[in-house]
Amino acid sequence: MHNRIKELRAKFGLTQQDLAKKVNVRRETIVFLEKGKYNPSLRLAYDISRVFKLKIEDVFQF
Amino acid sequence: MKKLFFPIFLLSGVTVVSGIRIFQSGIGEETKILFIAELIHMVMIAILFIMGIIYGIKRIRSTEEGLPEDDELSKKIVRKSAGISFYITLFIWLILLFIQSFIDIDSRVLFSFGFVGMSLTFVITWLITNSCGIKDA
Repeated sequence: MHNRIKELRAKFGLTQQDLAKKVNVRRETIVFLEKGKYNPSLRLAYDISRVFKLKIEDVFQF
Repeated sequence: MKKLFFPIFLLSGVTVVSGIRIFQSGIGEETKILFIAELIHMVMIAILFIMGIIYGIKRIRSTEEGLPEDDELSKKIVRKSAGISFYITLFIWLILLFIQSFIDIDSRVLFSFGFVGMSLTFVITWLITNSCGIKDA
C-alpha cells in the first residue's frame, strides 16, 4: 500500500510530530507509515485523511 | 506510567534474580566453564538493562512531547514479538532439557538460563520487528 502522507504533510506545513499529535499516535508510527513499513488501521487512515481534508483513497492507494 | 514500569520491572527482576541465583550457585565451584557461563549471563543482564533504560527514556520523552506512550503500532509490535519469541523459546527450553540429559546441570542454573534466554529472545525479536515494521498486520 502506498501513501501520500509525506507529500501532504509538506504541503500542509506539518512536522511528523504535529501530525502524530493530531491523530494521537507516536511519531515513530508516522515515520513507519511514510516509509511504507506499516499499513494503518482503518481508524488511523481515516483520522489522517481528515487532517488533510481528503478522502481515504486520496491519501492511501493499493 | 504504571503500564510502562511494570513490564520493565518484571523483565529486569526476573533476569536479575536468575543472575544472582547463578552467581550464588557458582561460588565455591572454581570451574572455568561455570565462570564463563556467569560472565555471559551478566553481560546478557547488562544488555537487557540498557535496552530497558533506552526504551523507558524513549517513552518518557514521548509523553513529555504530548504524544501517547502506546499506540496501535507499538501494541502490534509487542504482540507480534511476543508470538514469535514464544515459538522460539519453546525450542530454547527443549534444547536446555536436552543438554540436561547429557550434562549434570543444577536445575537453578537451567531455569536461570531459560529465563534469560526468554527475555533476550523477546528483546531481540522486538528489536527486529521494530526496525522492520509490520506490513501484513
